[in-house]
Amino acid sequence: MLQRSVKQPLFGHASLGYGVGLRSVHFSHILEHWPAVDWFEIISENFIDSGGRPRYVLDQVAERYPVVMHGVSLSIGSSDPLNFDYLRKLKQLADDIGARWVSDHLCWTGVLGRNTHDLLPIPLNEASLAHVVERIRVVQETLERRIVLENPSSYVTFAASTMPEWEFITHMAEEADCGLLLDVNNVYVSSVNHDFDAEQYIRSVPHERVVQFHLAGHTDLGTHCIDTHDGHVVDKVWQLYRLAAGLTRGVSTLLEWDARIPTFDELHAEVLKAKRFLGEPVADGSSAALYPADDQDPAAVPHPTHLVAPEVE
Amino acid sequence: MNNARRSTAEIQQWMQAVITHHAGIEKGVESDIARDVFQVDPHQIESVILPSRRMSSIERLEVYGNAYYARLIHCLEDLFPALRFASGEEGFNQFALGYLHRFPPTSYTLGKVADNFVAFLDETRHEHFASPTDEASKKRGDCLEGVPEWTQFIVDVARLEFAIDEVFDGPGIEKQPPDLAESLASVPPTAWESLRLLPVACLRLLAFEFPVNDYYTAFRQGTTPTLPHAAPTFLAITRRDYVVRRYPLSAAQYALLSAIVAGATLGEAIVAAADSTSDAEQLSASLAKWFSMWARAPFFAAIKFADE
Repeated sequence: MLQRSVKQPLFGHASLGYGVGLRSVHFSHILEHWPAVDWFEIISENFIDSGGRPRYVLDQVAERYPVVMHGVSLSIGSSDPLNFDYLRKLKQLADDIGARWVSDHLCWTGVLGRNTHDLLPIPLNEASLAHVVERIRVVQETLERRIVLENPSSYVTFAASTMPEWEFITHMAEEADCGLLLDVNNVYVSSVNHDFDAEQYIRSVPHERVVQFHLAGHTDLGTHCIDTHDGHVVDKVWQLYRLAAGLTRGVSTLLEWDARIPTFDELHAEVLKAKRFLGEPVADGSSAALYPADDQDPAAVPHPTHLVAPEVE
Repeated sequence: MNNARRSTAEIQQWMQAVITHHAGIEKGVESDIARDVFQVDPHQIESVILPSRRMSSIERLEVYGNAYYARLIHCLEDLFPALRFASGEEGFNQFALGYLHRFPPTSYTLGKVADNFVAFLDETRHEHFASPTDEASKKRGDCLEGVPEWTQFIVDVARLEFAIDEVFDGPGIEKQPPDLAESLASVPPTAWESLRLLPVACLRLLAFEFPVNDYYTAFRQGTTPTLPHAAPTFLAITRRDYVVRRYPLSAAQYALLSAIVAGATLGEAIVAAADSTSDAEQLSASLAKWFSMWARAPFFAAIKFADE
């Protein structure tokens, strides 16, 4: 078994601490206050073609904070060919801003030249595993770095699947030699939707390959949960996070909040709750405030993507 | 076909056809494009998609089907807020659905999701937006070449918002701001006629049939503007300090700048501008002031003399 210190997990990536997603609604606040947040994660596609304010803000942020790139269009599980133009731009941006690592999702986003802009699940079997592993190798060679892949939240399972997701992810990470982004909220959402044990999932993934955690809010519709990224992290997810953090002995933790986005201070305070669940001291000394599931929204949309609204006079 | 023989590629092609079908999952399952991949009836769908304890296979696919259009329409709403206001929620959704059906996204970035939107709107405007949002404009019933005139207003608003978005995140001049005001002022009178001005990459010149810039300003200020009367208007858009700036133009200014952007010499551009106005004297008297203002905006990246 690999022996690593708490602050030195996989691939030499030291734990970056507690970060938040860089979102355009907070650009002005960040440039004005330079808040004491440990690190930022960006949505890669919002910046790789930017010639305007988004890229300007990112450059300023990257000079002052560790930045991680998180993509939504790699489509590693697609049966379409890889998009090397996209990969070239991804590599350029990662080099430009000194990205600590580059992540995306175990999913496909489209076939036949289309992009649904959704993170769609793949059938989990030997054939798809070989397909994904080979593509990860090509991507890693192209980017000249190991990539980190996230377990998606999903709403369907396939008759063609022959293994549970945690088994697929374990084989994938070990055979392709890539890192894992363990989205604890996604584990919970998928466990409700697919009737599996979330704790078993978290206990079964290769912990030494987990580079990062994601936390987020979701919407519980009774029959299923949707990964909406629009609210507080609920207590069941915090409990899973505590389990996962103990098994991995502490890795970088990132809060995603993409709809009904609160003020930066509220966003930052939400991710800092993680410290309480790990028994770390917090500045205000308060106890952990737990949240039940958020209000139901029948029109909830999974992991909403977002554009950067133009600033115009 | 035996389930075990369905490849990942086939499942993905089938699933994409099903969840992106505009009429819903069951129609998607029955569609030719899905059945061309493999044939499965809606009541047999469990041979592809498993049910959960609380949801049927169809219901589970509906999560993706509902999200597909909702997500993309939300993106278009973000890009075209004034258009959405002008056309009303129902009209906007109708048009957006038609657009996404005709032009499904193909790029890795949502930044290109609207690339064909304005052209599609222009080509199909007679099919959409059955009624404008305010009663006064409904009663007016103006028509332009057989198509209600207000549909041109809708297209004009879309063109303005698309141009603003392009300029906001496209190439700009902030890292090396041109400073041509002094250079232009020091050009000898004998050299003016033959020089050319190279536009900055973020300059856009727009001609509208409706005063959409005023409408857009009113919308952004939180008022509820009504459909204006048609009136030709002209606008320049550029970017400074990463903020998009709008400059209303006269017809003569638009003609002058259009000729410059097209590569004409200053002399040729002034002739073009003179052709667009009945007050050539006023034009001549205003040129120095205009170019000084446009150099500061900035509209121009460089001066090119005849011998360069």
